[in-house]
Amino acid sequence: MVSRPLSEPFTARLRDLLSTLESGALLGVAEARVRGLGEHLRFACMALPCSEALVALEVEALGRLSVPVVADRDGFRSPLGGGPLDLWPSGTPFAYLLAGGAGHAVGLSPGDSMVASLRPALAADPVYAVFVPIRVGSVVAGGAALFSHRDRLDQRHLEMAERLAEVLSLTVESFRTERAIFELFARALPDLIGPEAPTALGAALERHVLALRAAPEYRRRLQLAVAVGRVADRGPAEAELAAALLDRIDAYARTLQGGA
Amino acid sequence: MTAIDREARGIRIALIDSGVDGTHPWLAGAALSHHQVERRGELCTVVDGVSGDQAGHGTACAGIIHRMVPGATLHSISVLGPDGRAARDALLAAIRFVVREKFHVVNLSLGIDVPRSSPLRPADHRSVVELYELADAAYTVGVVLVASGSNASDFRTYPGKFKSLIGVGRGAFADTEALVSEMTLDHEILAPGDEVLAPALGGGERRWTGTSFACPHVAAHVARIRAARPELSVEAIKAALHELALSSPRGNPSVEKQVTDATA
Repeated sequence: MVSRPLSEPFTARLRDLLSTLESGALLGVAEARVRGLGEHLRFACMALPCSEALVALEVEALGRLSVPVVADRDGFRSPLGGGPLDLWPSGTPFAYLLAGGAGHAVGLSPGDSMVASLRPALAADPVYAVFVPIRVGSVVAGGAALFSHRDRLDQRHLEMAERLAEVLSLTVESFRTERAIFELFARALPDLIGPEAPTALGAALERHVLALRAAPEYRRRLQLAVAVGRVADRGPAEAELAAALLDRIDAYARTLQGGA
Repeated sequence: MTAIDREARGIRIALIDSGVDGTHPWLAGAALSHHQVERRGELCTVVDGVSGDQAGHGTACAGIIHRMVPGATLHSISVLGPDGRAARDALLAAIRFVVREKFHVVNLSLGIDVPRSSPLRPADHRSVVELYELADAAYTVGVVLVASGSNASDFRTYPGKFKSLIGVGRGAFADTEALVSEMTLDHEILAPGDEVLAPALGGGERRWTGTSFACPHVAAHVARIRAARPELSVEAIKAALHELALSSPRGNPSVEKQVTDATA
């Protein structure tokens, strides 16, 4: 186990490292996720008569939806030429999907308000669309949308889109698990180390577990982290354990940044 | 059987969905009330709401119902919060409300989809058990729940699967009055759910596909039966519905062929 003194410089270094770690880890995972989602959506465009496809995923802490990738038959891209498209679910079909609604196909008119907030991400005005929910465990994490600029999308395509959403959900599930773990440690460790820490690590971790609204399968993993936090909360060993955790997270983040 | 009251006057239909835009031209003249599920601490409760729809789905379902039974009163219960999202307990609270208020018919184009290949997860299991108990309670007090089944055969949809309510699948029928009995583990009756013309937000209309849009057709049929024979039990209403299906226009082969051709 690595041992370090709990000093001001260490606290400052820890804070810097945590912020770097969090953004680095998120960046690494996000890139892998976008590649996976993009390839799946592209495949959908090749297998179905749809011209473009995208996913809109819930940004848990903010209540917004984020569209990280749009695909067509030739490949995939960021919706706004480098960044995600953010939108509120209200007024879009995703609001209904997030409420537990089932997938559906719709005909669209030119300039249709139903897809107005998604239109900046698309190359042309669609005439048909299929919207299906992406479920992660028992939670709807967002939705996928398939667009056709010419052909009708009917019940058979709706069924295929529902299956595509199952595949997409596996990618999203993997991403959310990684991110949940990282957010947990990254947010809670400064509470432990900082001299002005308002809460104990255990309480902070428990609060973040709740805040993440994790599904049961994640919760089991996260509760393990809470248990670690409680152990680390007991006294002098706390600093050593925090440092050891930090080293392990640091090593893991390096593998992510290396494209793993 | 007594002549069916096609307008279903005096029947109260609850629509648990994304809300309803009462200003839509399709709903002109409709008797409408609006409620919404509101979170108060840990609990969800149903309170009075205002006209409005955050997703367009509820207005489409309301339009289908009103077209078929213009004499019925529609009670919209929006399960979406102000941010356009809804928790599962909001859905449960809404169903609890409609059972307690003893609506004649409840349209439920919402539910929990679980992949057939996956076991029920603990959170799903708890929700499904609660839905099951609510569906049983509805059956006991004579509230007819009409719930959409799954769109894809790979999914189980709750509460649409339960036999204490009326589970609805979709078919490609040209006639909006069409009904076909099809007793399966997932649903018991088919209604038009393909390319259904219904309201779109903003005052227009669009074609919708999904079991969600088959469900309001069946809810409207049930409303007519309840208007004609208010004394019937849920079981008897189900029987009447299947009787109706025997005499209703079947799937139009030309439409089915058209769909097949388009997807070939």
